Amino acid sequence: MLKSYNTAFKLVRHMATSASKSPKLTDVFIVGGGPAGLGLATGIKTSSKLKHLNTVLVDGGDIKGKVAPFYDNPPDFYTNRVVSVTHPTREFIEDKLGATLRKDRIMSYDGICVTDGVSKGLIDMERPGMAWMVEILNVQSSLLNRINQLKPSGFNLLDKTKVVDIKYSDPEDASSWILVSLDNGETYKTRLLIGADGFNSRVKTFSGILSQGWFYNKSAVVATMKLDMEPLKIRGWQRFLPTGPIAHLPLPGDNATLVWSTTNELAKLLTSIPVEQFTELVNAAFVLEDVDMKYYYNQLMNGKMTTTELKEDVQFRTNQILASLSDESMADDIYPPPITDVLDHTRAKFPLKLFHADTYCQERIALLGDAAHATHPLAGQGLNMGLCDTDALVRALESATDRGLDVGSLFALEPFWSERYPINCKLLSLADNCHKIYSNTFPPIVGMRTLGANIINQIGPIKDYISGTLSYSGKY
Amino acid sequence: MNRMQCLKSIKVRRSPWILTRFKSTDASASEVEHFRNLAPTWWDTHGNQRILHLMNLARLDFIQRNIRNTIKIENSDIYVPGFNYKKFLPKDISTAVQEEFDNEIEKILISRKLKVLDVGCGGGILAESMGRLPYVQHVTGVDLTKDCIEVAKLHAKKDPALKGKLTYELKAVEDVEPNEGYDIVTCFEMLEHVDSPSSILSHSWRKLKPNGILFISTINKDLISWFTTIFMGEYVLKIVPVGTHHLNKYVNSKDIIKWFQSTVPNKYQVMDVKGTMYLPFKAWVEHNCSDVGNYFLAIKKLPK
Amino acid sequence: MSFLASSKSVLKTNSRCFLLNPNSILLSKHIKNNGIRTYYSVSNDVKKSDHLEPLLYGKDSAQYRILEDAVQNSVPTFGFTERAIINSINKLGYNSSMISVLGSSNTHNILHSSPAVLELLKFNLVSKRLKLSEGIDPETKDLPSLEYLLLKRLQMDKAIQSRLNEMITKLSIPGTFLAETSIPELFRLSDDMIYFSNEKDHHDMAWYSKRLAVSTTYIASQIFMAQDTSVDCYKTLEFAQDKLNKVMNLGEYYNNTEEFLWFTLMTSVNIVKSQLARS
Repeated sequence: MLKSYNTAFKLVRHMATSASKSPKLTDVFIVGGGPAGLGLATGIKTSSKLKHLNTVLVDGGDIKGKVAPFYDNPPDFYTNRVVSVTHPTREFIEDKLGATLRKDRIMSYDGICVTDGVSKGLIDMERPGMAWMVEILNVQSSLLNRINQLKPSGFNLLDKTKVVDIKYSDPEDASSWILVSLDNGETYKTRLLIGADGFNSRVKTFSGILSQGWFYNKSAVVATMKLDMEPLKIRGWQRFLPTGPIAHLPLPGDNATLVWSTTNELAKLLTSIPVEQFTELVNAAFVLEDVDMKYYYNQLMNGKMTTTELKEDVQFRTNQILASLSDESMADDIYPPPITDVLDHTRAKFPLKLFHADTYCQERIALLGDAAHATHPLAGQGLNMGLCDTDALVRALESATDRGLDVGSLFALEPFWSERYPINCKLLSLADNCHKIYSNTFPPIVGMRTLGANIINQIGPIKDYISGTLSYSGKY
Repeated sequence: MNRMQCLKSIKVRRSPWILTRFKSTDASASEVEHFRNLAPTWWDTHGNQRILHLMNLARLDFIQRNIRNTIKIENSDIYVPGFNYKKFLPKDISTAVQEEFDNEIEKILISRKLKVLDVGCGGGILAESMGRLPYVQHVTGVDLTKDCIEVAKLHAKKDPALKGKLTYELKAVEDVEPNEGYDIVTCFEMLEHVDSPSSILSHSWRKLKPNGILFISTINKDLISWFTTIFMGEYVLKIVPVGTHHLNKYVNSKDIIKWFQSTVPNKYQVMDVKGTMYLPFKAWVEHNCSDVGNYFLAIKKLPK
Repeated sequence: MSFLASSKSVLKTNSRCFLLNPNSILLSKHIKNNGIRTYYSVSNDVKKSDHLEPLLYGKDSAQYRILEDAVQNSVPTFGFTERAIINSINKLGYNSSMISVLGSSNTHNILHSSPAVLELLKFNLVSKRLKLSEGIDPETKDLPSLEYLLLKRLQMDKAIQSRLNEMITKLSIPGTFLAETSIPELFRLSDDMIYFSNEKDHHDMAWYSKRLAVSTTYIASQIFMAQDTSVDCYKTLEFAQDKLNKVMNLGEYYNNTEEFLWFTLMTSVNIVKSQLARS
């Protein structure tokens, strides 16, 4: 009678000791307390149609102790995990969910200037109020704050708890309710299991949903930077070096955040050299030629250059280039403001990859956020895709409740996948294609892309379309 | 003499070798047998019955809309504009207005505890969907095919939220108790499977409380229906099993309304009649040509 | 050893081999069955004979000794001719009718040299290939690089450098020998080099293209070596390294392209599926 699903619905692992207590029944079980998971929990408890659903959220980290206090007592420096929040995401968080972000720690920026690291190609996109730079902790803590405000019934937040085992309550039936065992001894029997637990999602492994994609074999270095004064024009800067793009994004006051995607060896170098040398390299990377950069990398890797030597050299060459500009004031338009310092304890790196799950939902299971897709940070769309997915899932569940469907059934979940999959494909391929075009030093390709960039720079409507796609996460 | 009048005068025959009792509302033995064969795959959402599951979504939309249209907001604090406010007011204001009276309607609706009777419930697709709605207190599903009732009972056990909200019985509609005991009676996709649709209608009408709503969905008897439901559906695309539909059993929406006019004049009100058709990539879509193809019909029983 | 005795042992080995080996040399993949590499189908009734596949005689046979000596000492002087073989036969004291024994497994061909010379060529390829992987255990973690094995093989040919042109010409004459021996040997050499090096295991497509890539590099390097006048053939080795790097990069691009196309295909299929899910 049952259709055989082409996904493995066999058990991952049996628990050695089965829970002697009977499992607790719940409607929605969210694994993962990142922005996507918290967004869904808030969405369910805010929605008049869904708030009766019993919800449990589980995360292995210390959410109540480390994330929640951020809202009332943030640290005096900016953390290094900062994302660009676009319009649909902000509308979802603030308008639909009613969560207010800490305004003093977000920065609205009015455009982005994209330059080529090998040639003189330049695209200067201006769009007032394009997006906001927000720390991820800000997003998470404001969602938590909103949940606490609501004081919802039927909601359980279990932090510092890990999932030990997931299995179907009837191993022969892939549409039976799902049993989740936690390391605190509890077992939950849930109608709908949400995987919002990141790239190495346990829920995704259990569901057998496959992902397509690859590792870029590159890493991104992030850090919080200090400028000598607040810039006049608040915008983002991205330069596509042959090893990967370097991005300088503004934060309130004289702060900025850095995302430098580069090869694994260089990332190791960048996170190991003294902070002063790192600062000089960042400044150099936006202005100097690729040969100069290669020379610096070489010298620093072999320990042949001191900080003072590096500083002088960078200064000398930068002055040369600035002097060669026809108009000194153009420097502000083409190059980002130079940085004076980098907060050492915020320097970190993470590997880059592109992955897209084949489907976001299955009977009784849905994937959200990084569990469903992972992208290159150069387009700033990762978190936005995740939260827009959450918005779509909340709407799909509302419509399912209106129609009296079982919220865990595929009929209830599929509209969410149908709606989001093409848009996410578009954004993922945008980021990936940019990466492919710009990581080449093959002269014909460099020539073509420079020509293309310069042409696009002259044509307003195309620039508007591109900045619109970035600013509205594909919903433009 | 049209089929309605012909069937009204049918006499009840008793024949010992047919297992089911012969009632005026009976389906023929072949129909019962046909549905018995379909029973095991009824809940397979990717199988033969997928199109029925998709239609269920459209049905619920239709039902929800019509139920909400019966609610009158008594609260004088809520602003109910008498004009098409969406066109005239700015977006935020019209959204706020909409939200406010949506919430009020929800409040009123949830305080009502509706009783639903599903005639010809089959495997219980509609019954379960109605059972999950917060303002429905109880759903009674009746059908003449034993296997379908068994399947429905079995499937209802799987969801704890439905506990105590569903009852399935192997009965004909005229045996259902009590008369005038149900707020909503539904006859979805079953009039075209019975020999005497008029008896079904009259008995269902009897079970309806005053101010209750009778929901009907079936297929018009015309060439386009034949083409889409029988030719394309059964033979070409094979979405529906062969033998599910017979053109001579189809009933026109106009005929039903005429029947009500002749049988219970001034005691009924046609709330809504909408055609619906199946489009690939969009599932079932409502349209206004209710004389062609499939249709939904909502009729309210006016109080005496 | 008298002629009769030696020929008896040769005949014995011949007949045994004839019964055991069907005369088809398959272009088969490595089948890493429990660490045993096989070129032919693995069936339990094939006994492991003491000959070195695909040669029909073992290391301690007369043929082996004659041909080894020929390749080492006679070929540089006389080239790949019957004269070189006879020179070695005489030097080792065998009867000159051994020459027909040597050539017994090769068919006569009017376009080609004598069967004995064909055997000499075959021996040259096979023995050097086997020597290449001597002592390397494929199960260890510390395998040499592909580049190292390629260069090692090229260096083995230093002794016959002056005769390389002749050898390559004779190996490439169209006919049975080309199809049955030269090309399969070339592929087997590439197989060996990849298998015994630290190159990662790949799925089918990349495996065939990698084999092709290494084969082309090897042939190109050999042709270069034939006219290389530098000291110790260092120019050949440089050429080989460079060519190998280029070819491997191309392989990388091919892999990436394949990955990208597969990704695009799957994504398109999924987009269609996601929209069909509504219906």
